[in-house]
Amino acid sequence: MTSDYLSAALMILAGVGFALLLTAAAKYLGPHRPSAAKDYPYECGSEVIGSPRARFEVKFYQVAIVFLVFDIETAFLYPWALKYRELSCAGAVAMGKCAGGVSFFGLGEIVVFMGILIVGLAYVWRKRAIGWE
Amino acid sequence: MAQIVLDQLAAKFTGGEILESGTSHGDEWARIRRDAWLAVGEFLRDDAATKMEMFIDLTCVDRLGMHGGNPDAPRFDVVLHLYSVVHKHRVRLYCGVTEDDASVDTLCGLWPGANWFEREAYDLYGVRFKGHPDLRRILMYPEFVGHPLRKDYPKEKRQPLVRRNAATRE
Amino acid sequence: MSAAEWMLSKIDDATNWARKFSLFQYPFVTACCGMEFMSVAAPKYDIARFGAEFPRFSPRQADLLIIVGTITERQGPALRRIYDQMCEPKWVVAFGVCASTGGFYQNYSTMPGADQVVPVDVYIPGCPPRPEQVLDGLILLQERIQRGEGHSQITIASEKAAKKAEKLGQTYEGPLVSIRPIGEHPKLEENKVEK
Repeated sequence: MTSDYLSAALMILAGVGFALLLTAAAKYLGPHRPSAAKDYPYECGSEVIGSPRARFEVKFYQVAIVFLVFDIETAFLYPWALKYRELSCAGAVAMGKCAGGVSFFGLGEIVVFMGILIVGLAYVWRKRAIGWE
Repeated sequence: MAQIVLDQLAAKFTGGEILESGTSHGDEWARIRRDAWLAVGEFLRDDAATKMEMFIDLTCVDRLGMHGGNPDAPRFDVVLHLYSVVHKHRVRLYCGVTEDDASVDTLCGLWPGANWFEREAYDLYGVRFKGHPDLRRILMYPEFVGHPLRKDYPKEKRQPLVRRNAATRE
Repeated sequence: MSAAEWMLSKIDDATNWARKFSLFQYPFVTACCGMEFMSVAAPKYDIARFGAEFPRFSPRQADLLIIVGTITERQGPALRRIYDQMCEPKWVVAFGVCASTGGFYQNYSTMPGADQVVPVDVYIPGCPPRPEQVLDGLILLQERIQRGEGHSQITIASEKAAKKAEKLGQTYEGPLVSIRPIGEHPKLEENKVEK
């Protein structure tokens, strides 16, 4: 168990260390000649027109938020799915054999969970926040 | 093939606006008097028999030294090509422009596509277009002096815009 | 030479070796030579064999500016600005005769060679040059990089040497450098229009 974490830690250390090594090499081996032209924005050599601070359309934000919520819902489904069999076997797990059956508790729990989120989905759908336009 | 165009022009403009016309290598052409340039263009675009709603090209020719001894002949020729998508015929129109008063009416009001072509003719030949919304150089940079495609512009003359300091390695 | 200098020169050699085999190109393509540039980058005459694989269309990420095709006078300031925005060390290759000397153009708009506005390290003639010729030019550039003879490499080395000489109180006898205060952009000599 310890050796797993040790190798992972070494891996992380090596990765971060390599990045730092390259940055240090670039900083100390490379020339340093700042100039006014190098600070100027790159516009294929011509003068800059307008400002880069344009307003973004809200549809991007909407899609991102809706995705986030339902992605986390999916993440919550995984542990439920793993434990469902145990739930449905009730006390019979210790016998090593599980006949299976329906666990109303497990089912009810997930239906309530998803039901709340489906209500939310229906609201977002009706409000047309899911579509692209 | 496009004789109908020349016939319509001859029928409509009887006051000497059409100086010459003819057929050359399969293309019909007509030479228009300068003050009738806009009127002829409008007629060709709107008349049902010609219906030349498509602007093809506008350019300029410098005829310096090509007149064979006629000192009054205009120096520049503004050349216009028009096409009709409906009737599928084309015509070429010439307009002689003298050097002293190198200007002619703009066709931007009739065909918006003429805008940049007229800017190019101004940039390279110096022909001005009266009423053009934005007559400035288009191919050469604004600091350029002269009109390079005129026949009296020295063909190897350079007008450098920027140069580096060749004494350094930068 | 002392041990420290020997070690530094070995580090320099190693750095130059790494630089020559990992050129990030900025192909400044304007005209027909671009077709041959594409041929060189394509699998048959693979330029990636020589390390110059990635075209980076940004001067921030590139160290090799390949000027492909005719440069007009109007493009001069844009090309110069792109060269200025690249980080040192940087190299410039003039690809084709138009970028080298103006090519077959001698007229009102063509700049007689890109070296009027940027310092060029290697000129590759040809109209357009065959891909083998381009690769030959690239190998020539790599040899110059290894020896430290690129224009920007010499400038950097001479600036370093001049600063060292100044610290020691000696005068610096070496290639002409542009010692200028850090942060100041070298001014272009703007010619007046010839009459």
